[in-house]
Parts: sequence; structure tokens; C-alpha cells
Amino acid sequence: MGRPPYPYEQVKTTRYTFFSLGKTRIEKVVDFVPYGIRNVINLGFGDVSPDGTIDDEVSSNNGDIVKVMATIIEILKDYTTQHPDALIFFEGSTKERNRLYHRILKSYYAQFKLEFDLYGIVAQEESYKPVPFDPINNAEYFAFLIKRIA
Amino acid sequence: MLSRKRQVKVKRISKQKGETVVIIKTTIDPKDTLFPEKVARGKKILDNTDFSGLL
Repeated sequence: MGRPPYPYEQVKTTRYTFFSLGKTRIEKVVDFVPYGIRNVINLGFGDVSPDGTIDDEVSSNNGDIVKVMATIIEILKDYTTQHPDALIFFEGSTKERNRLYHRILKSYYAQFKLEFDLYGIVAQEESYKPVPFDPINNAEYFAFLIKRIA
Repeated sequence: MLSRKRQVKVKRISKQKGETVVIIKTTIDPKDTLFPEKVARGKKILDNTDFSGLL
């Protein structure tokens, strides 16, 4: 990623936190949860509100989205180094957020593919199917899967 | 955009000597997941995902 990430802390095996220092100071949390389906792990990401609750739908508009994303990618690298067989699943909490993730993956695909296999989940009739991520065309992905290349 | 927050309710209780306190959790344990709705949504997709031939 172009920008250096924020420093982060692994607070437990499956959880990381860091502070977004844009217009304001916002604590962010990244949480990995195993689904019990193959080695699929959910990547959840959100803001820690001042009252201690977690909000994964808020648009912080803190002016540092690139740096925040760079930090999440560093955390992803760290977690998958510790768990190389993990298949990381993530999806946006809204369609707009999903498109944002799609754009980010497209932008950094050249760098990303050196370390990860990327898949998009597409609809097929009444089910879903993972297909290799296509950085050229605008396929509609419902979610994404990432696997560290061994 | 409307934001949706998950409230974790914590009730402070007092205990008399000799009493046993039973704590009943009213929400999913945040130690398990911070994003239960997202995890549930993802599980719905994954349960209907055909992984054959690719992963």
C-alpha cells in the first residue's frame, strides 16, 4: 500500500485494535471469527464508540481511509502469517461498502496477488460460488475470500 | 446513512454474604464475536456456497 499503516496492537489471538488519527481520534477494531466451515474465518471491522459499543456500519469520514485500509491489510498479513491455512472471508455491511472493498482490491491487486490468492463470491442460480478475483471487469461480488500463498 | 449499534447491557448487582450469584447474559458474548450480525450474514452466504473445484 502506498501509505504507511497506523501502529496496531494484537489484543488477543483473534482481535486487533488501532487508532485512526484523521480529523478526530477513533479507535478501530478488527476481529477474526472462525465459521467452522473449512478454514473460513470472518474478518469483521468497525469503530469503537465512546460508550464502548461497536459500530460496523458507520461512515467515519475521518479523512484517512487509505491509511486505515493499509492498516487493515497489515493486520490481515499478520494474522495470516500466524494462521497460513486460514481462508479470510469478508463482505461490506452495505452494498456501497462492498463496492469500496472491490475498488480497493482492484487498485492494489498487483501488489496483493504476490502474497494472496483473491476470490470474489458470485451468485449462481440459487447458490454462490467463489471465482478468482477479476481486477479488470466489474463483476458483482457478494463477498470476498483471501488466502495467503504458502 | 443510519448507523446500527449493538448494545451490550451490563447490570451491576450486589451480593450478600452466603448468596450465590447467577449471571444471565442477555446478548451474544462479545468475547466470541464483536460482529454477530455480520457473522450470521456471512454464514448464510457460506452455507450456500459451492466450493467444489476451487478451494
